[in-house]
Amino acid sequence: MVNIVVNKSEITGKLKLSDNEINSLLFNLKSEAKPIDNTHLEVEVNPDRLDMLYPSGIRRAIYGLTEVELGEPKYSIRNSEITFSVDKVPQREYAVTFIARGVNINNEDKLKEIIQFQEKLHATIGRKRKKVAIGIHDLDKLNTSAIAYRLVSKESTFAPLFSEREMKVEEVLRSTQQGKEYGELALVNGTVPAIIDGEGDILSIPPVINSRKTQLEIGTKDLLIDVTGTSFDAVAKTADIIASDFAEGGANVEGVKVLPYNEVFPKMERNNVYLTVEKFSRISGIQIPPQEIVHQIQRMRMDAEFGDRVKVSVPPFRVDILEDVDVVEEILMSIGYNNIPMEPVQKGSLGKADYKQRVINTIRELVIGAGFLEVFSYVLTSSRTLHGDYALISNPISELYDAVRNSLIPSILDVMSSNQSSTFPVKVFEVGDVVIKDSISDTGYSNVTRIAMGIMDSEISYELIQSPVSAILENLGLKPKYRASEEFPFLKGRSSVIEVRGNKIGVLGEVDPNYLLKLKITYPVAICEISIDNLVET
Amino acid sequence: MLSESERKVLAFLSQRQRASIEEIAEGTGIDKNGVNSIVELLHSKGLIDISTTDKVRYELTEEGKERLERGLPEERLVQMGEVDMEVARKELGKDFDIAISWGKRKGMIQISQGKIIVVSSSNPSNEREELGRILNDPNYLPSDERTLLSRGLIRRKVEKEKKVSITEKGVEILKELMEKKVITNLTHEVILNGLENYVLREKNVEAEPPKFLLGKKHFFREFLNEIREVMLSLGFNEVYTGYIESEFYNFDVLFQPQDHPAREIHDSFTISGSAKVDPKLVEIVRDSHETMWRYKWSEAIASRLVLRSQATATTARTLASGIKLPARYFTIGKVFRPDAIDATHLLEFHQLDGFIVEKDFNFRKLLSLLKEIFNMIGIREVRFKPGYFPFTEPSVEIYGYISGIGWTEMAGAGLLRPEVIRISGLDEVGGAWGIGLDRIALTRFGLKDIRLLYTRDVEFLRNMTVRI
Repeated sequence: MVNIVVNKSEITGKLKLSDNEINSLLFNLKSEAKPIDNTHLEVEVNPDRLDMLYPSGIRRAIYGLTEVELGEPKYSIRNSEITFSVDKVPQREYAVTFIARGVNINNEDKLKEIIQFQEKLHATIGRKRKKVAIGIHDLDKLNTSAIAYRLVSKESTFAPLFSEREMKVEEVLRSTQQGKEYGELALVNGTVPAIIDGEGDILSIPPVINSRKTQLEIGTKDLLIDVTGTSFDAVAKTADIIASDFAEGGANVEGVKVLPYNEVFPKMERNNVYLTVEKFSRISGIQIPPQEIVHQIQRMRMDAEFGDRVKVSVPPFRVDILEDVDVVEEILMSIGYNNIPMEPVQKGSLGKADYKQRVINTIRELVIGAGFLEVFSYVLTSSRTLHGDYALISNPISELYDAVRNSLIPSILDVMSSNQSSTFPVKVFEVGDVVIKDSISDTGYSNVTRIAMGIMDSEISYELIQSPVSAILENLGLKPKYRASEEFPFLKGRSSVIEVRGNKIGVLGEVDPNYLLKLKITYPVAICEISIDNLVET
Repeated sequence: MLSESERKVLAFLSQRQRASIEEIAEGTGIDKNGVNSIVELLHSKGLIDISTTDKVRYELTEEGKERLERGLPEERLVQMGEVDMEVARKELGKDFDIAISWGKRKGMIQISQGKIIVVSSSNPSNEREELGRILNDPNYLPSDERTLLSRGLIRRKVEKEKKVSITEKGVEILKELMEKKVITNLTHEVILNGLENYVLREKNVEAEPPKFLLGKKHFFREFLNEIREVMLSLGFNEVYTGYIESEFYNFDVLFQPQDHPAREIHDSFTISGSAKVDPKLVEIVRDSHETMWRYKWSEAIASRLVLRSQATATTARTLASGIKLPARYFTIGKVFRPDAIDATHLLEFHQLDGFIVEKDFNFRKLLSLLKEIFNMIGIREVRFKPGYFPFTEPSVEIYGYISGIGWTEMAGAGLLRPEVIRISGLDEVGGAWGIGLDRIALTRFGLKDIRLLYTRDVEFLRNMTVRI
């Protein structure tokens, strides 16, 4: 979700809407609004609706649902006489510019909304400026005779935004906040991309920072917008979205010809998507006549006409409509999801239970019969508690949870360690998945379900754990055999491997007191761990 | 049978005819309140008789106290010696008349010509001595209480007093008790010998017992099992896949572009290594991504390993494994996301994910199914909000109403995009959803802190009551 702050009157326009009415309209547009004060709202915009990141874009959508205006608004775009020459810039290949006249930044809110629009586009379609970056300039402050996009040396100088003095590009990258954050995207072989005006001044070094020369301020009327990036589609679409929202806000947009592409931007490109009435009914489950379908699409601010199928013209500002199912969603949003009538659910036959789950639940019953209390722990743990092979997290956020457990024994010991002052005996068990290396699995790892039981008391013995384990296995129709072993973390002569039909299914025994002390456990503990996967297989 | 204290009292009473509560208390060392209740108990068993007698006591009035201290008026009068009537009246005030009257009656004075003549300066009776004894001993009975009462120096009090005596039955029982072995617990031997040959000590059966440590199921696991039963009853088959997943199934099959913000390193836990990906599936996924999202899809990125960040990875795997219509599958499992751990966030939590692909399935059926699932897990009111997920279209967010909290986002769902269905080789409409289970469980159990679902505190689990 993307949150933006807007002036309420900017999104309601000529409508008089209460906060509740605004909210229920936005609800059906995947959004919601929270009042900040009497005049401002914080709107949560769904990241697929980039056109709603600017107040006039939200107003356009609200006008549709309230039927103030229907269909796609057509913005007349004049061609500007200025041209834009784009040089070879390997690290950031694509660039376009265009002009928006009469944006009229006459108050603080307007300035904030424009900068917010730019930042939110950077965060979404721009992929943190890597894919797309936007520069917005005060048109009156630059020389438009020859605007160009080309590489400049890191030794070139200009005064970046918020700076009092000229500095070398290299210093801008090193010393400014934006330089540190985005400099890496710009600097290749000692050069950075730059937008240059007719006086040869650097207007911006995309995607890092603009020059102070063309800084926006209260009083700025006309804008030059540059959009650069690594994806031509994303750059062109971003230009379409900004142009549409500024035009909806009352600006006159002028297209600028990009010389090497020999095309004028914004392209204001429309795609046609076709939807048959039959497909709409099949997908949605509701029947409505074609005229109604067309009307609902128009409410979503798109043009549609009905022939043998509904032809939808996707406006330039809607990047999220890729194919017919997307149009189905638009129609349903317009109708309102909560207006779709419910119908009885066809239950079908009983679902197939997983055999292992049935085994797990049977074993749980038996272990509870033996008087053990079920615990439920985290799967993530500290690698310091694990032995043998395990999956280590490469980007942990805490060393307490930097690995996936490969055994339940650490989980049980963890419980024991925190319950030394509980009423004794502490008899607990856990059934859960552990992850082990597995060369057969496509990921190299597999989940294995295990059960572990543990007893802590002021005095314990090997038989205290062996005896219930035997009873449980025998109740499952198995004949366990115990073979002496010295596995970690058990005590020699007090631990064994459990075998059923010659296959190892688990381990049990008294835990080595030296290891207990390491975990700050000062009472004896006996533990058993059995692989339910192995049980199911044998 | 008799308690130890009852036996003591009975034994004490057998030594004497009758005894008061005080006497019993003194003789047995049991406090008076205890004796009182034991006596009632023994009486109800017919082992003792209780008789009540009146007990008379005297106590000093205010006047009595004053006379004891200062002397009786007649005594004070004779101490003055021969004196003029008017002088004595002034000295004694309101006591003057009393002094004259009793002085004359006791022959201590005579009156002659307005003067008082002392006949005998000593008082012939001993009222003050008696008053002193009454003050010191509440049980003292004065020899001439009538005079003291008539002069208003003492007052009389009558109290009821319990006197207890052992009955014949009591004597018998006591005798039996003295002969039999007193035991605390029944044994095999006792039953064989016959209980009548023993005295089985009675217990305080109304006292709190020692704590019993019950083995029981974990409440949250049972909640997850309940959800599982709901899905089975709705005709869904259960499937499970591993926690460690390739990005291919966690993201790519689900049509999430490789530069999608949700795929950034801080949004999932990564594991070193790389997965093998089926070349046939690779081509289908590459084609979908490159055609629709218009970028160069990378197999290397797809084969990176992550801890699955959504249970939808299981849906992706199941779809890709080749399914037959009608297909209804669900999974309940852990998913992992890097987050700050607090009362509402954990690094790992549970999701119920399910999908359905069958003939004539549609969005309306999906919403109806979701409403049914939520009803069956106790969320009666739901609201549908349009949403966005890369792998579904139309997409919906489901809000459930929880009293005291309000509308809460609980699930995401939608019809599977054609690009996702395609991986199964089918060309049908399908729906999928994911429901976060931990927060629903919190409201079910009235808990505020999500960490309690995974607590290590055994006492908390022992004290957690079972919901029926």
